[in-house]
Amino acid sequence: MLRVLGPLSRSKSNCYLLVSWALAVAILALPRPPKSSAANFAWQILYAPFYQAGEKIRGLYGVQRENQELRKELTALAVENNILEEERLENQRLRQLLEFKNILDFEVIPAEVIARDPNFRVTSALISAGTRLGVQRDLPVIDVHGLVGKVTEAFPDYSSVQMLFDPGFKVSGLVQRSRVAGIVAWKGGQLLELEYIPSAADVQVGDDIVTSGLSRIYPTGLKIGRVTRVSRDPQSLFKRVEISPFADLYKVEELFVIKTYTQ
Amino acid sequence: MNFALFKEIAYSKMLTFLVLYLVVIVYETLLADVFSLGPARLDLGLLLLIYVTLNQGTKAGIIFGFGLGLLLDLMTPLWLGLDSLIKSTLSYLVGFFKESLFVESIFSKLLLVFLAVLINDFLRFCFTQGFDFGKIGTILWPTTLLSAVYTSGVAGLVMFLTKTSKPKLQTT
Repeated sequence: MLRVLGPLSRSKSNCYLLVSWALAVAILALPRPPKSSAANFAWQILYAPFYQAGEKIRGLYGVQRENQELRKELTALAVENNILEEERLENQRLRQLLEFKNILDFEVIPAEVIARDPNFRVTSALISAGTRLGVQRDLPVIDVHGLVGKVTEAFPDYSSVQMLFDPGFKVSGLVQRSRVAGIVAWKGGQLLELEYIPSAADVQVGDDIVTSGLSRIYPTGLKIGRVTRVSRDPQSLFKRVEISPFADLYKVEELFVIKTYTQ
Repeated sequence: MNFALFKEIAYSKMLTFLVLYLVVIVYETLLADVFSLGPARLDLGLLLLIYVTLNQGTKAGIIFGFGLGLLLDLMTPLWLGLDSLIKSTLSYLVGFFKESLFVESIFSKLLLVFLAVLINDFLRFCFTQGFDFGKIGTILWPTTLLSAVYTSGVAGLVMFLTKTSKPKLQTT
């Protein structure tokens, strides 16, 4: 019992407690206006700087979070924008194709490239039209710019196309302006060559080369390419005529298979 | 009497108190929300009050508690002085508890923290709510109990960490 009461009997602690109580009660009993203004003054000095700093930190944190949200939104919008851009370009191409189809004299089967030769040089591609749509072997394949190649194999739902850059691809061509005929074949790189052109033949840079029609596969007048270089080899009887094809074989996406035509 | 030594001790205690007050201000303004777990609130001021009372004695605890209460009351100026009253009383009770019941084990210290949070909130509630005990069950206990558990849990963690980080004396 004495041990429990011992600390209570220690007068100094009791004195401290009594004084603190007295002070606290005195402060509590102060009238509201001076108490509030004094507390407000002290608060401004002691707490306000930290509150302001805290607000700034919270603000920065908020900005950072907002920034992250905006970045996410921006990424989503960029993706959406890409999709829209793709759709716009596709729309543009399809419109072009539709116009092109309307001006053609041929009966054509529209198709899309579904696989391309992965090599540096595009020699073949798979297209989305097959025998179900009437595609057969050896039908010519064109795009809006010109000749692309010919069908080498046709399956029910897709077909394989031999492109202009295939070393085995040959087509009878004609200089549109001067009607000089030759054989168009791959020369190397992204160029074609009009072979067997006599040295005296009238061929100039800038001439357009079209199909001659001297073939059972290609109709007359399909655009193949434009002459980019003409050179003469003194040892040879023929001119060297380089042609750049009109069709961009690396980018071609929509094609037409010419089903029937009249010469 | 050696007044110089007395002054030095008084100044060092005052400095300690000021640093602890600053810690409380920073905690209350910037960190209290961060350390809250739902309705459970970490009562850092009370933890420091108990620490001061246990380590520097009841008188120092009462002075520290009075100042701490006044500091915390600035946030509710209507009750300016109330927390001083409660905190100084709590310091006295903690000192009494320590001196009469020999608070040495971690468990008894945790019990002390737990009870201190309960008493602190109870007294404050009684004064501010006009001793309306009908509300105690619905308003006070759900949050106060959680805060008491949380605060004593943090105190236990700190004590455990400080105990394990202290170098052990080698005995031969």
